[in-house]
Amino acid sequence: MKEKDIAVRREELEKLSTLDLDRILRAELDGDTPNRENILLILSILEDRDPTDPQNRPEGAAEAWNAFVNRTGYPRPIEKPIRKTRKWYVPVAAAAAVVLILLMAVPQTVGAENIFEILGRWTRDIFCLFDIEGTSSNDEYIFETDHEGLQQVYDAVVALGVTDPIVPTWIPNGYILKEMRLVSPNEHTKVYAKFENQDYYIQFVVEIYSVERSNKYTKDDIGALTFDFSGVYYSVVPNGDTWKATWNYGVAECSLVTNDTQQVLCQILNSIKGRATE
Amino acid sequence: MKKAIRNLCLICAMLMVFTMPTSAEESCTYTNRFISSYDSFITVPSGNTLKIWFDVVGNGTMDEIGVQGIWLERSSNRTEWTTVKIFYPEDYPQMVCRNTGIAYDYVTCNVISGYYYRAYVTFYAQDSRGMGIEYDYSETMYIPRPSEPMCLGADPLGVG
Repeated sequence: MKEKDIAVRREELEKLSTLDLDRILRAELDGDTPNRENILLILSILEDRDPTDPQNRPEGAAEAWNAFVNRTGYPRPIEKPIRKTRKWYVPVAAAAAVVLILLMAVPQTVGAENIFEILGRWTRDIFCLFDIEGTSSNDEYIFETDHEGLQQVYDAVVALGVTDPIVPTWIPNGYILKEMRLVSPNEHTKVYAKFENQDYYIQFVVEIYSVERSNKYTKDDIGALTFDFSGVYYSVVPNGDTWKATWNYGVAECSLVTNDTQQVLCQILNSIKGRATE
Repeated sequence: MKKAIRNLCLICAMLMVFTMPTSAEESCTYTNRFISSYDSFITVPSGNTLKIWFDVVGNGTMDEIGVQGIWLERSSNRTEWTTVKIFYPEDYPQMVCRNTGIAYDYVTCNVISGYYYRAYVTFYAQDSRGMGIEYDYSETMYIPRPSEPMCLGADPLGVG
């Protein structure tokens, strides 16, 4: 197409609406022999036109825009984003979690099973009042008790050849020896003694080994309170509704179980060396 | 910056948890309101005779206390075990005691030499409140052949 013809053609096309130009453009593109110059002319004209001019908008655009505005209320004032305030307990909970993890980790480094064991060691005067009196390690041990049942237990232990200070010298008033058994006198000897006071009991067991052994003791799943006195290592644990103490002395493995209070258990242990607390 | 600090704290906490050392306490188990302690072991008084001991102490006097069963197992390599005999209270009344807080006795069995033996024992104690049960394996005992010049119970595999 000559340049003059292009100018004339452009002038004619510019008179048409955007919608008409769009239709002509579609027809050219869908045709078998599209006129390239015509297409370029139309695209040039459309590019020069203002898209915001309502006359240049496609058919139905105005109606669609009005429907959008009515539905959304556009334009809305810009709202400030809501700033979520942190609840006060979030950092407190995070700090508590960190402290708890530290409490779980630290005892391992100091050789304790858990924090309760550390507390038990540090606060033994609260958990278990130990007041060592009487004989020192260099003095000859003399068993003395006012309780007939404890004397019988001591005599049975001595008869097995054990004279070490392992038998308590005191138990609370009201307890009487209900059962004492000496099992397997020729092998792995065991002395079992049970004291009762109505619904309460104190169970004392001494096992004398010919070879190194140890019983398996049931206990609650918390740490043991441990006490070391004159080289004897006492372990005090709860087991359901009972308190249990275990320790070794020479060839003897000893245990003391009661459904009385922990205080009573500790008082009994306290009486093993020296005088009773009462 | 805050996010970086928070992430760092979380990583530190996870590291502490996963690197926390643990220890197995072999001499204590979990709460049992009926059983205070228990143990089983094997002795060899002579030749090919085994004494399988059981020892259970209750929490106070029990209506019944003892073992429900003893499984004697045998192995040639300490890896694969075969049950060679089962002891039940019906056949061995010493396995159960009544109205006491302790059951401590044994059962005997003649065995074939040249093998390892161990016992699997089910302990129990019951009263009006119910019953408590514990399980235990005895240590392994080796019965040497007459031709083997070693002490009874010694381990020819030398692994303890």
